[in-house]
Amino acid sequence: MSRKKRRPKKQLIQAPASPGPIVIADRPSTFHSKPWWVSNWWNLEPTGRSDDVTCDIGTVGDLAVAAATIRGNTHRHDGNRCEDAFFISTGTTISGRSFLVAVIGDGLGSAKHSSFGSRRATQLFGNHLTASISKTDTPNEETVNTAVDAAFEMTKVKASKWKIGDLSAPPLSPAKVSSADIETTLTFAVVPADPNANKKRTVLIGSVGDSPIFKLSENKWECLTDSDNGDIVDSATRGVHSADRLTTSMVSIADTDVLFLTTDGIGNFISNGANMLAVGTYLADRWRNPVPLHEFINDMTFDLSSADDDRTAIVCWPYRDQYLS
Amino acid sequence: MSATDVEQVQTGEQVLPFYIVCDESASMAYNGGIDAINNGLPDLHASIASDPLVNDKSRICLISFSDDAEVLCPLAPASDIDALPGVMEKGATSFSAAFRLLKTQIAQDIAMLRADGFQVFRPAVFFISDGEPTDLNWQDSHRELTDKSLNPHAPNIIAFGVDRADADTIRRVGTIAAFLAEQDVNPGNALKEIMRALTNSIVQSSSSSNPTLIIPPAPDGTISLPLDVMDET
Repeated sequence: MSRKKRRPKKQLIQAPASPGPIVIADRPSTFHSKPWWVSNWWNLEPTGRSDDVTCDIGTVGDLAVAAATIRGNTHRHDGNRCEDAFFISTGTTISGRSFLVAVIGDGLGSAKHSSFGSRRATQLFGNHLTASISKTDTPNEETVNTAVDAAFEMTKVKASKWKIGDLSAPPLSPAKVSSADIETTLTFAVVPADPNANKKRTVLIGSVGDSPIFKLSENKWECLTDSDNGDIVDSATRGVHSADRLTTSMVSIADTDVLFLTTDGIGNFISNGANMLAVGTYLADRWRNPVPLHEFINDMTFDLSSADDDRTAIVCWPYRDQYLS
Repeated sequence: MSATDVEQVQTGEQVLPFYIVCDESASMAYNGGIDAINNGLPDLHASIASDPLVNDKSRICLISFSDDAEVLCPLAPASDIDALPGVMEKGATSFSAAFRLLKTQIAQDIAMLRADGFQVFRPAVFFISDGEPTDLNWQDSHRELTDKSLNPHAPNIIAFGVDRADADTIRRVGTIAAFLAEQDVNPGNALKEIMRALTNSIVQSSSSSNPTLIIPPAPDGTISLPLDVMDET
């Protein structure tokens, strides 16, 4: 009597096809040429909370949203905390219209408490703006801009108020910490969570500093905020506490577009003038559709020599039903 | 799309070029300057090559000048350089030769880096001399190098003077900083500290997430000279 052939056991765990970060360019960077557990280049922040990875993913209305912050190689090498932050919140107007508020901050390297500064400013601004817009019936450009101005002023005041011992706050009284020491860029977008009849929506965007916003349209990133690309790169930037107001504008986003807010840790490598760079080309291909959480984080940890800054991205895909299949 | 499909697209990697320009006039041998520089170069090379972030982000070029100027080591990552060549005593002190060579070399290097897809930060020049220039009209070639309306690739220059270097001359060479060795300090020792300060400046400038030229504090045995005109950096 023949014995039944045993079926092979199902493999419950599948190894990734290619472990490690995606390498942009023809070789890995020196930093990633050795595993993190042997190189002595990947150090923890001694007081805790290095913040190597922070991520939010979810939906509101017809929007699919993914946001993440990745600690940069410079801070890993120096054993310092990530200085980028993001904040995403949702609200509903009196008339029942849902919306998303997306905020990004990049703590200035010269600021002693920039990690706290970026977290505090993005959360204060995002919360206040969401609450203000939620109290309106049918927000228009004027009412939303008024809410933005109020949120900005409130952020500048409240960012400098904390008690010693508050979570993540500097271990000093606010009187001993200057605004320069908590300085951060701020970039935001207010996105309606459903389109209007012609499958487009009007988004209010704004910024102070060098964290840009892009729109992916027909496989190409278009920068929606000011940029200056000459032969020589300049690294100067402004922040919340040294600026009088945010620079805002209204932009139109089609259902087939993708909205992308980012800090310069990624933004500097998306495009150079009209030309898309390698990172921009790669992310345009990867993020034309929503991706699973682990792939989103992997996309953001690309390896490129000199791309050593903290990285933050908020990506917003409108009309998520188009991605059902 | 895999990462290899982006080969034809520029990467936009960022680089900070540094040019170390050393006086090789005859007097540099007598005051210990040549030895101090040659002893400092291996430390500079090792400090940069051993730091994974600094090495990838910086490029080093060594230029010497006396009657003429020459590139001793073309612009390259430190890890691609086996060892920085030493300097040796030669003849006179032509500042013009150094500035003219810098102007053409920097333009060539930036063009090459841009063609290779790099984003280039404004170059930094560390200029080291122990005496007065033997060419009288060096200011013309200096202006052609440093005036941004004449040269879009104008570098930032940090000038160091030792021994018989004149304070006014060194101050005019530097565009963002200038340092002069104190009179009672041995030139060789001053140059040793200058090499250390220069190394630290390169490492700190390249270590930052957003590369910014870090001007060193006055090296031990030197004083900082106030400049007449500060160019925008």
